[in-house]
Amino acid sequence: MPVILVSSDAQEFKVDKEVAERSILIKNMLEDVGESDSPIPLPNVTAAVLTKVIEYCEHHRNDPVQVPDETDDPRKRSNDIEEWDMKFMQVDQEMLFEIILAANYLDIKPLLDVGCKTVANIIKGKTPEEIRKAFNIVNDFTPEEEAQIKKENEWAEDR
Amino acid sequence: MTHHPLEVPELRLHIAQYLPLADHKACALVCKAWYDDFQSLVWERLSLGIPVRSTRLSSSSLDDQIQPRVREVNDLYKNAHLVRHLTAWITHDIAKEQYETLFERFGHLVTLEARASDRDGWEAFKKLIQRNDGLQQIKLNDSSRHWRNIADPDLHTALSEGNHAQLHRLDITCETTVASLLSILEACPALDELIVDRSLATRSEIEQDSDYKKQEEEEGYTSLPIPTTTTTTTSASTFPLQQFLVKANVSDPALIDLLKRCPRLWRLGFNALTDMVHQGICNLLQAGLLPNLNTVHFASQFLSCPRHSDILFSVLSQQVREVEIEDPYPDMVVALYGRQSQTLERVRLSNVPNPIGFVGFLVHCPKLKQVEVSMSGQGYADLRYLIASPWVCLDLEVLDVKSLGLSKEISFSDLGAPLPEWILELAADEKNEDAPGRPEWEQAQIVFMKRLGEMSKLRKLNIGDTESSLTWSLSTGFAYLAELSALEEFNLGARSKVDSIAELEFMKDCWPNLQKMISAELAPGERKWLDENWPELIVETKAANGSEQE
Repeated sequence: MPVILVSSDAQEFKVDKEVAERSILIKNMLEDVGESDSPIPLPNVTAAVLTKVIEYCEHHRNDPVQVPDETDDPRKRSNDIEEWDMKFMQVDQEMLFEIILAANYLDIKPLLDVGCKTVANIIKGKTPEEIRKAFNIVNDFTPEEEAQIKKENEWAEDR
Repeated sequence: MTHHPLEVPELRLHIAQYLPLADHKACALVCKAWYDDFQSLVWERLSLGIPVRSTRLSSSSLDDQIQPRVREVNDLYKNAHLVRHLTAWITHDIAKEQYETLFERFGHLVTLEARASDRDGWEAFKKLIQRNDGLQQIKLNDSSRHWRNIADPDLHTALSEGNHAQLHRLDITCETTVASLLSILEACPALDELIVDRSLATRSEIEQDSDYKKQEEEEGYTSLPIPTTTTTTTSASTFPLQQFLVKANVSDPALIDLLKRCPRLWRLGFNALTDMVHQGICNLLQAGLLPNLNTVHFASQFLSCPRHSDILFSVLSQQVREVEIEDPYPDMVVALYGRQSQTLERVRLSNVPNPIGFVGFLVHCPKLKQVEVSMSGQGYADLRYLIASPWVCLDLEVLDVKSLGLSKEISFSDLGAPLPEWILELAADEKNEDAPGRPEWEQAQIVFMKRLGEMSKLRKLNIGDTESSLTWSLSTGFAYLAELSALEEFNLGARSKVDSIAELEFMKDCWPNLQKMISAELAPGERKWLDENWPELIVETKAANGSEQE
């Protein structure tokens, strides 16, 4: 049975239940409501973003449910993004951030992970100034403060 | 209503987990809001005083003004409260006041790895432990060379005066006693793993050591104060301890009383035991008082203690899942796959006098997932042993027998036992079927590879070393390994010097998960091919003399 999702700009999307349930938020809603064909409003997601999110869920509809990380390695890798996901994430920065926020809101952990890995890859190897430029962040440190932090953090070294 | 995900602290931390320290440092400098999140990540782990690089907090880096990079202790003080995982070594030459002041700032430690080489350092660590009651793991090491130098009898007071409800792993390399361990277990209700790497002696033995004591006291060291023996009450409560490794000799029979109170114990490791302790453990096992024990380690023994193996025989038959033995006696090995063959999953043997035991595991233990065997001295395993009978352990994930010296030609006199007639017949049959007309050793290798090729769950295959005369080429059975798609690490040792790209192509096609290859040598053409076509593969080459070439 298909499920109807309504974006913040009132556009309706008809998707298979299996696809919609990739979102834990929607899955829980459906479980709470029971059998019902009333549309599900998603006031935090625009049609453009929802289209992308549904595309992702369609592609990954048969993926096994993600098991919680059993590896206790605190540093996870960001270079293990699948090829399809990599292409999927080739969008402008605004859309990338919208997707991450939507994945966070809809509770689609694999999509959130891929989005965050993509952002991590943008940050990787950049200087603070380059990071500020990449994300339009204003530097609110004085040069002295910046120098002080830099000096403090000399203590921290990779083992 | 568009937020920036980087403005949501929760998402910022989610992104941060994919970044290494260097990027955390850069992020901390971006703006004040980022600083708050990333500074705690930069300082999450701290290593101090490890005498590997001069930039650490060693005497020189604290005192010297001439440092390539200026680091002020004040900066360390300022951020110490952020540290959750601390590794610290204290040596004689670090001023006591410096580390004492510093240690007062650490308040949120979760793991501590500490080394001290004198009493003052040890006392400072004890205070640190006492104050940090959120500690989950502690590793302490008395790194002085003086025998019974930094005694620990008060470690249990440090642990019991704080409220160490979360401590679950304690690993101590220092002098201690069973009485002290009992108090620690009483004080730490979550402790499930205990590792002790010094001997557990009895009171009278400690008194006998007074000669050493006097001598050390004259040198300014304090030695082990004699503990008060706890009287074991019949109504003693049980401990949740699950893993207990004693890596040095035990002579105090009070250990038996301790073990009696650990019904959940599943992993137990020993070094040398006195007869009385050994007998006590056997009795416990026979009485079923350690019903969950399934993993046994026997460390290398410097005292000859042959009756050790009785413990192995006292564990309920068909219960042992994992065994690690250094210097095994042949009868121990045989007993193992005789009595425990249906349940054994992991076997690690070092300094095995004779390679035959290893064949026994492959043939008798159907649940085996991991076999690691190293030989003492020159070990040769005749391939004909290995192909002779059907291997039952087809779920094997790790086969690491690289020092076994799998050999094509060895005379029977080199082997510890003659090859049984039935093995020879079986081997002869199978070889001729698979590779008629080839030299005998090559036929044997082809059958061997065919057997290996059935173990489709293998993740690590290490059967090559400089002594081995196995070669890997598609024509000598290598092609049989096509199904080993789970393989992550691979070492077959020797191979021909001729460029053979076909074999590398075969590996790349068949083993998508391969991360590391160890090879005796690589021809220039092969290295070029790998650089161009398989750059992510880690390749280690070993020269014939065993030195690494990289």
